[in-house]
Amino acid sequence: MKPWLRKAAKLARDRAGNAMIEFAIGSGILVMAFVGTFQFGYTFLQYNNLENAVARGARYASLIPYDSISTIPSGAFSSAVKNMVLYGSSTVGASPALPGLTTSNVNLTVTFMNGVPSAMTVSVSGYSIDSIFATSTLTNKPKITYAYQGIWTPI
Amino acid sequence: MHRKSRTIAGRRKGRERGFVLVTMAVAAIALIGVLGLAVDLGHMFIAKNETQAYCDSAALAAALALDGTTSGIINAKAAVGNSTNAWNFSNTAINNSAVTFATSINGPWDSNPSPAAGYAFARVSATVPMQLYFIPVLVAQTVANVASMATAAQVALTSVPRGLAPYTAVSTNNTPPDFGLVVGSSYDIHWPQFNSHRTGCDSAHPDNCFNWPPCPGDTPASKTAVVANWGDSNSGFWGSDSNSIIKQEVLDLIQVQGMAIGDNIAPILTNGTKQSEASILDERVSQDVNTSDNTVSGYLAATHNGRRLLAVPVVDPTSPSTTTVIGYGVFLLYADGQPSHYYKSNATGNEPYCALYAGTYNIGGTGPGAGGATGATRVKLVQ
Repeated sequence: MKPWLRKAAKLARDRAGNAMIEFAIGSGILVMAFVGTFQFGYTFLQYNNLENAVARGARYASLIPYDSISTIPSGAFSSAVKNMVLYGSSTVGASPALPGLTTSNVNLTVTFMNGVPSAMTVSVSGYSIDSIFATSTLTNKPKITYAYQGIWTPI
Repeated sequence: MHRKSRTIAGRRKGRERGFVLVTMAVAAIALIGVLGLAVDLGHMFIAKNETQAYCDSAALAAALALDGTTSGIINAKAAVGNSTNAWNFSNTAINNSAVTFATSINGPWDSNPSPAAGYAFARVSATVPMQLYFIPVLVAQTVANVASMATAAQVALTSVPRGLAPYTAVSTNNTPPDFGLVVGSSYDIHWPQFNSHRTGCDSAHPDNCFNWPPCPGDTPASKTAVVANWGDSNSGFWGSDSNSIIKQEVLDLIQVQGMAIGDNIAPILTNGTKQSEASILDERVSQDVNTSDNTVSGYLAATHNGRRLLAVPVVDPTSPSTTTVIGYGVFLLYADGQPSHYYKSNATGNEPYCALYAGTYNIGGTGPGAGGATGATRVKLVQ
């Protein structure tokens, strides 16, 4: 056997450093899996919280007196609904339901039918869920509509 | 000895061959299981939340449309069909919902009740097929059906803090839900001017005690109660004497005070200021898209928005100092075109203000409600 061939055969039999390579590959996969798990889990958790907050705001909007003659709500109505999404209260609270969520992220759409309010839709836009390893920006979601069952107060 | 131990070590090494592979396979399955919990189960929670929001809003919309008739059932089904709430991160419409109705929370539940009298409960259920991505590695299932259900009902109210107009309807019959009032009949919501000096005026002949005939639907017992207990002290109006506040009371339905079953409202009843009230009633009527139908059935069957419907307390005057709230009802205001001048043209002060009894008051609805023990209901989620 030629010397270089003998050397190659010896190298092939040598298992020194195997553990390090296996650890490098294995831990890479594990880290990716953990990062993915965290990212999805955290994003889903925050989305679920947001869904609850939006539902709460839409339900509240469907119950309180609507004090505008058009589909453009009054400032007071709009603020009360947006605060309900953010703080669970019609007034400004200590901290929003989700970190970084502001009233500018909350959309309120009023639908009229036959000249009177018929539905209230609340959605979230431009809000990013930051799960450290990635960021998911939401556009018009979650979105929830409730039929209006409050008292219209046009004057 | 040395050679022997080397041989044993070699055998062991041989037995350990493939161990890492097995460990990795088991670990990979566990890892995918954890991923499945995070991704698929997380997604499932969101899908459940989304379908629950769909069912909640659809059930409320359905219950709001119920009015004790089969038309109400049709409208309730349409309300569920028109629900725009979606699932799958608000991307996918929910098309397979089912709606059923009942007269009580215990059922039985019927998808098409006829006749529909007393049906005040609506239940909506929906199931969505959610794709699984990681869990199929562990379980032989690629789709999970996520189901939700909600029940809403018209719940009777014993007190109404806001939503009543400052008028009354008189009845001596305290049987709910209609308190002796007949749907489609015309009743005084503001009585004509009382005049005790008119010929033949006495409790047995109450029609002779007014400068103008009362509305045709009021019973002799109601008219007698009004003549005997109200006389010229009041006409059944309990609002403000300020024009701007009357406007808010009629158009925005603010109330000068909350009103509960059993309340004695005799102290706040007045004769009101008919001329001011008339133009405001007409203004409310003119806000409706239907200002032509002057029958309850015609109005409800045609396109309308409910502005001509006015909710008032039903009261029983039992003595000059006691007029008790026995229930609530909703009345259709008369109209004579767009814009309407019906009440303005009957506003000399002598005439009554009449309106047609439409049924029970369901707050937020554009029509009457399905009934109830007090004549007033609020739609709520009950399950």
